[in-house]
Amino acid sequence: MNAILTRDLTKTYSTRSKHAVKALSGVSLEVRPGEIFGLLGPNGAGKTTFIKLLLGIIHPTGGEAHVLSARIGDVGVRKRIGYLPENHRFPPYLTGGQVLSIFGRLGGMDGAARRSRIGEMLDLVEMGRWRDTKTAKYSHGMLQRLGLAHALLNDPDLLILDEPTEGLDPVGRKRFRDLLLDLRGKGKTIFLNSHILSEVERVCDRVAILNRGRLVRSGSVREMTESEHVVVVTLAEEIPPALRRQWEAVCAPISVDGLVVTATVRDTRELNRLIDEIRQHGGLIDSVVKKKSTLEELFLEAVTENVV
Amino acid sequence: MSIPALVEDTLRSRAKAITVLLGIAAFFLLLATIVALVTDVPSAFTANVTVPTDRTVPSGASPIEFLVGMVYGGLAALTQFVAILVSVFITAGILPSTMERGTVELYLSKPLSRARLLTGRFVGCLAIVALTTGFFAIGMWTIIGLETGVWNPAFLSVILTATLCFAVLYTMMMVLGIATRSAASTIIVVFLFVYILAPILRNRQGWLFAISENRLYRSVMDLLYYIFPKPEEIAATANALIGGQSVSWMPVWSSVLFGAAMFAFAVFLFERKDL
Repeated sequence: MNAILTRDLTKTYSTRSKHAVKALSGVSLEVRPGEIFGLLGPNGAGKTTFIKLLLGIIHPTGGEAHVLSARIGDVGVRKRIGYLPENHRFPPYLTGGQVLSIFGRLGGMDGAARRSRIGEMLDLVEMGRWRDTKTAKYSHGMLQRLGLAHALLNDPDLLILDEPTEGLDPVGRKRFRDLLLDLRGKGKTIFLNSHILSEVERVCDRVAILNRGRLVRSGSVREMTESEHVVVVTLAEEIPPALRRQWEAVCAPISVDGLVVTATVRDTRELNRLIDEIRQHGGLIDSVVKKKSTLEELFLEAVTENVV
Repeated sequence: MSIPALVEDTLRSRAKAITVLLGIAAFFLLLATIVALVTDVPSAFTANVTVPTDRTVPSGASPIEFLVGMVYGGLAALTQFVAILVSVFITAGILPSTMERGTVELYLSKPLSRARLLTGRFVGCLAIVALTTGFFAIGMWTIIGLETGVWNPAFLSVILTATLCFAVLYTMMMVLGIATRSAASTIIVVFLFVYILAPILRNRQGWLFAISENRLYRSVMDLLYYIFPKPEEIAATANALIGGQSVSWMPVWSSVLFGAAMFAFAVFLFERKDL
């Protein structure tokens, strides 16, 4: 059973000028229980629209979606969801403690459990000493940390985070990443929407890329970033240029730049034949590494392809 | 659990305004107490105030009871007028601010239906009116009662009529707030209704019927009068109760029906809205 399942999910906004705006177009996605899933996309790609649809904050114009096996719009299932919205605005007239108390009650939490959990969560995000300060006096980073505490308050099975590290300093981000990994270890599902690709790459098991409301790519981070066919062989000594032609007979294309040989191989068998060829001709291999793309490269490629 | 939490949230959102209102009410109560302490009000009343010529003291009532009843009536009218006026201003922004981006997501991501969110806000706003009106009315009633020995519990009905009147108007404000997301336009429309449209409809026989003798036109005006709420007449109910006069309940139940329909419409609009 998937934590999130969407089929052809579509959202079209009708505007006063009668030009309909398609914010999301036929998005089909699966998020498995216990994984950290990253949703990527440029501004206006439809990421926040997707999340709002999942939570019933806006209504779909087509397709269907299930969250924790319940249809979207099912109010009861939200007891098991924690959500941190992008640019959230906590009531400025409440203190941090009151925010968690009121939203905890709205989340259906019992008195004693709520009170102990509030202290626990505020300590977790290092906001304990600001508990009785009104949120109007909080900095952006403090609000973000309170937002995390709010999202985690009901010990949710599914955590939906929209740009969660915005406003956090590098130390805060590191702690946040550790927290996500810890939550995954406890079997929680995390749906993460972030612009910070390096962060997504570090913590997410799988990602999907949205562009202009369409899903343009999805898969595991490892699969997507590993260019399986490109290997980089670093030699210990220079080789005569003539050898390059012989190696090209084994696998093409091939490029030699000083001690670095970059080759494209079809499979592991071909990689071993290339290594044999190098060694037969006296080449001394220092290392063989499969070339990896960064998520950023992949993201830019996916988004640019889609634009063209 | 969610409704009390929403009521608390609503009260906290207007804590400053409530404190100011209670402060003003406390000031007037203090003033009344000082007057009561330095003056023998019943003697001053009987010596200086006479029953108006167009009024007669009901049988069984003393002149002082009658005069105090008139004071109660004046206070009731004033209390309701101020309560409605101020409450509309204080509460008009509550729903639009709840619907602001970044805020509404926090509420709607909870296991809380939109109808329940609206109900919580509605009850919270009524609590503001009941609390402030109740504080002033109970305070005044106690001071007058202690000073004159005349205890007229009907004066306390002003708490109910002011709250009811506001409740009906607030259902209109909910619809307007959801449709426009603007506190200013909500205030303008509600005040236009309370101070222009409702009095015109109430006095339709003198004003609107003078425009045309057409039966259909007059029937439509009558229908509009019966459909729309009647804030002035609800407020007058308290005065009728204080004076021991017979009460016409039509303005109350027809206004309550209108309020119920508006509340249902507000829920319908809110349920369908993309936020």
